[in-house]
Amino acid sequence: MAKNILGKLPGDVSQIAVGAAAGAVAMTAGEILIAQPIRKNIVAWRKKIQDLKAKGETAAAEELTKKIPMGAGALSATTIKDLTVLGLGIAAKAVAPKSTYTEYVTDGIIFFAVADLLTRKIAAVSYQFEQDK
Amino acid sequence: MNTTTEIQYVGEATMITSDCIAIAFKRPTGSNPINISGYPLADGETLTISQNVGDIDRTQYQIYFGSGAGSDECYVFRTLIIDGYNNG
Repeated sequence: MAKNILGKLPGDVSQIAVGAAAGAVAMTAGEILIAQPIRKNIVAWRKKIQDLKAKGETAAAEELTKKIPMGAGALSATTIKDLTVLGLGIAAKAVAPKSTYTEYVTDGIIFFAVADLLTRKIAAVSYQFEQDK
Repeated sequence: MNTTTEIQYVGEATMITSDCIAIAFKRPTGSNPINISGYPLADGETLTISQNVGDIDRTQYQIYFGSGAGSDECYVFRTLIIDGYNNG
């Protein structure tokens, strides 16, 4: 019979353990299912442009260059992944049956997504600040 | 010495640890401005940094994208030594 180990731990420890595991799983799944296909699509788009240039079809290549795929413009593949995971986490929190562990899981997912968005944005801003000195 | 080359697409500000004998950063023509640890890559330019034979570059390069109407694209080429293989 399975023992409820988490139930015997202090509440804070259980919350961190469940939340961290759920957040890590959600972010990994998002990376594999959302971010990587977007990145692959960008590389395929660039390859198509290079192929057109190699064939001497410069006008078609320039036309295709203007059609920037999702993930290579204002929002990166990682940001799209973070926002999707965040949205799903908020939606799950709204519709999931209320229980201590569903709260831990959804809070963990939301926390990881927000933390990734913030840390990458802060890193970019601080680096820009360094460069502008 | 045997080597292998890895090619990586980078589409956002990030840190790349070299850990290789040669690294190159390519900014495709028409893409947004790229800054490599303070050095601005020109449109279509490739920045190549190679070490002396036997030396490994341990630098962490910071890639940052400037704003523009194009795409955020940087291709990183890293030449790595394959462990366990030697001449002869």
